[in-house]
Amino acid sequence: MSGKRKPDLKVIIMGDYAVGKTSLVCRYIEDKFIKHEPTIGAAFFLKQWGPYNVAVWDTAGDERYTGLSHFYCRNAGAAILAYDMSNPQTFESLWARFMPLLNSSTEKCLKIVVGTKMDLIPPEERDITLEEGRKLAHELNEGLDISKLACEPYFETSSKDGSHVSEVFECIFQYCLPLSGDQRSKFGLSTSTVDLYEKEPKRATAKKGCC
Amino acid sequence: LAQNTTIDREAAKLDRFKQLFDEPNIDLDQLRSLCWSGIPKSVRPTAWKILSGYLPPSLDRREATLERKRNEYFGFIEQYYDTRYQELHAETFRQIHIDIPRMNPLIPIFQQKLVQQIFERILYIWAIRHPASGYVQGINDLVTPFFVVFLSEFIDNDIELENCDLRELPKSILDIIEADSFWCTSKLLDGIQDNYTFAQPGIQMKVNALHELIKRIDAPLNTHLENHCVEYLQFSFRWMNNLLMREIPLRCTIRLWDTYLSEVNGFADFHLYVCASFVDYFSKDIQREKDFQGILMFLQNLPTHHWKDKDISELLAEAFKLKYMFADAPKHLNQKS
Repeated sequence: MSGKRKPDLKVIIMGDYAVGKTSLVCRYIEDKFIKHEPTIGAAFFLKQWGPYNVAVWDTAGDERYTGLSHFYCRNAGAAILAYDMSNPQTFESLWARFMPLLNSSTEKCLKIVVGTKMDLIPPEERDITLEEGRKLAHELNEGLDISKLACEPYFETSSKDGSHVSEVFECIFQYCLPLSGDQRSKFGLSTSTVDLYEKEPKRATAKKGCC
Repeated sequence: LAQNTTIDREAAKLDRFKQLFDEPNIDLDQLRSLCWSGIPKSVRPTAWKILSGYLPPSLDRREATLERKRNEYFGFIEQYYDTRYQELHAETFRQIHIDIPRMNPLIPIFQQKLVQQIFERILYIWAIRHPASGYVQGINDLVTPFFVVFLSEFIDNDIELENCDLRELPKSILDIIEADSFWCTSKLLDGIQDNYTFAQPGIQMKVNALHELIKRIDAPLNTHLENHCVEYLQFSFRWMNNLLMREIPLRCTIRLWDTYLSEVNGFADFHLYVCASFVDYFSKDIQREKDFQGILMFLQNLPTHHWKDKDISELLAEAFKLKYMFADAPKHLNQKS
């Protein structure tokens, strides 16, 4: 682990302003739900995944910063595309604004669509259905072999109560930097979902890139 | 004894300010050199308004100007504020309306509805009057120092300012603070508008210039950053976009702005030298970090929570040296960008 100067995986979080990108990553990494100032440019977070270091870049949602997002997309192994489940316009932005951005910069990047603020919207008032969400997620990943993905590339989360937040990240990490059941228990990671993950053969090398 | 000297020196400085303000025509150069090293609290609101170019140097025009400009601002409100729900502007307003309650979450005064509404009006009016940039996240922060300084004039004890209840102030006073904050923020933004126009060329240019500066003044630091794949854009974008406000406590920003306002193009040109001395200040700590993530984490959470005016003064002294060294050779910095 020592001697490595760069993280082993780079994950970028994108989505419209105020959809809760920073809250999502803070819930996962610090297990906290607090008020955040609007992110300027991008913020860097680090997460240990077994023997690996994962860089998480939480980008700012302001449209003015779209040019910067290109810069942060470079060499990203995975992208979280977040939208606010109580605001359908933010879902549209994912394909209108962020899909072109990702297509041009990262072919082999895994894309995970994440609905946020699930706690704010009663199921019967939802504008975006689960099927629509999954459909977009699959379209985004066209050309990428996601048969090895242990989950749907689509999640619905609440950073407030923590629902499904860690699943998002662990699904990504397990896909990009697979750990065996033994490794998972050695590093104190939950092995409850290990059955799912065991279906996939171990892959020797992790993606590398300058974060 | 040392403390007495400091008090004497401050009293003398205050006297000089009062004399200067009473002159029929303020010598701006004299005011700038007096303000550069920090402005006493009690005269700061007036000094900032004059340095901003909002108040005229001529004493007998000042009152009339204030009245005219304040009326003009409330004329804008009357004329434009109702457009905020129209299709053309609804998105601009929505973003401001969502951003404002998220500002300064740790300072109680900014949680007050009344304060948030003042900020919304200031930013909305500015945004629709400046369509080339419009509202960009970060601009909201730049209103804060003006608002706090102009408010301080009407609060007995400064210590309570962060907690004071604005509902206790008469509307006429709140209007004055709002209009003055609007105009001074506008003046500031006039000088850095290319930071916020399409593709943010001002910021790109300054990030590159910072890189060039560090290469010259602290080559080992630059090499360390490059060896670890740290790019200047990754940490200094926010420094440029928010004028270091996210990196230092508000009280330090206010002290910093005393000097920015005293410099010609302080928020654009001199800010670059301040950023260079800022990163250089932490050079040893950064070089102690031995991987990409350690460097980034450190740069993103610099230990400045305890900073006081004294720390800012040291930073500014270093920045001044840099300006002196490079000001005659600005081409050196622009060549590669």
